[in-house]
Amino acid sequence: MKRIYLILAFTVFVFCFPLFLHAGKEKAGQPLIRSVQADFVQEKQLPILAKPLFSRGRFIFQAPQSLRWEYFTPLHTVLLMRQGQVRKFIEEDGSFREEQGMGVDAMQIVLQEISGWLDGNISDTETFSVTEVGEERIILTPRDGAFAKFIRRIELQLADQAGFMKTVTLYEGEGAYTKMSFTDSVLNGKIPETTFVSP
Amino acid sequence: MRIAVRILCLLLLSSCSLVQVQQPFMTNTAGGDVARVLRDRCESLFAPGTFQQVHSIRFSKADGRGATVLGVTVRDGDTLKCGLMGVEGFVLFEAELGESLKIERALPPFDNSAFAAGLMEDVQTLFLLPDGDVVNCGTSSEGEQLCRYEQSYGRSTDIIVSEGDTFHINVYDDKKRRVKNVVFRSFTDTAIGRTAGEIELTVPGSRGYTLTMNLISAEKI
Repeated sequence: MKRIYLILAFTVFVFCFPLFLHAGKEKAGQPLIRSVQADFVQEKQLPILAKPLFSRGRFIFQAPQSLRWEYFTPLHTVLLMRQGQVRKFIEEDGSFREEQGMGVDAMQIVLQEISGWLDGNISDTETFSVTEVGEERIILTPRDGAFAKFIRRIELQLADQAGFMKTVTLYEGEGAYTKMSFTDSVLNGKIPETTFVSP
Repeated sequence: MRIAVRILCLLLLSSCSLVQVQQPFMTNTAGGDVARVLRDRCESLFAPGTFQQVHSIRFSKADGRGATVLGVTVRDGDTLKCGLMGVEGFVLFEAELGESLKIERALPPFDNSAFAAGLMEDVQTLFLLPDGDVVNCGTSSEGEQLCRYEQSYGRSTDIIVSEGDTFHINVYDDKKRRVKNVVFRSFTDTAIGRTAGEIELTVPGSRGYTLTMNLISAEKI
């Protein structure tokens, strides 16, 4: 079961990538990113699906490493990451149940990667090779190893405002992708610490 | 003395967990219109035509460990397609069962071929009418109204129509021991007809597991 959580950890890693990428860095003409929050619609397509699946949720990130990744539909789940600890909750019959076995070891891998990004340039990552297409599109291609087995590429569509994404699309294989479209983004809004503590 | 009592309790508990449910006898086999009506009722459990159903699936092992995933089942003619993904959308398992089993994608721990075969067998049990030429409809020694499908290698499957809009499927091995039990309840009207809102599949034993499924959507395709 640990392996499922490792995959979950990698999923978090992939979708959080754009957020962590700029956090804590101040670039010329761009604001320091202390927090980002946005609503999202997630579209899932698979070859076997006659109709795509849609999920809705909200993303809240606070530098350096706090995250609340919440889905409202089709299942109400909350993934919390704070001070290196990751917990996942699922709402059942009106109350939240914590998923046991959320591998801290799995998330350590993610946190190590994130620390690497925060310290260096995106192009230096050992995990992805980066291609910038125009000013608004970035394509990340796994270099090798575990990632390449189940992710072909990730496309980031940047929004006009620094620090924001329009979409993140993860291509898993022929006809299989997950696309997250972000709306109502808020940059550097004040976020209560309790947001990352409990569902 | 205390130790002896404890050992005795442990033995009793372990022997209880090893007790396997035996298939009940048919005490009254229906015929004619009565059998036809009962058989129609049993077969109404399975949605006809082509459909896509999405469930949340809570997978619990006998030791209490488990995880929740999303499951997609597509029936397209004689082909059954199945996908399991994390709530976050990452695909863990994808397979197609037509004339043979074709695994499109299987990430650990779903990359075990026995696991994949077992999973698809569960999906068949849940969404397809049992195979088997001989079908007996009637009443069991436990007073249940059921349809019994005799299958190859001595295996058989009972579909039990219970009062209060609940169905059970019991699968038995060649020694008439129950190896799988499914409960369908909380039926609701959907685009593909009346569909169970909750399904619970249990495989008994120390290596057993339970799948608790809640319907998210059911659509015609």
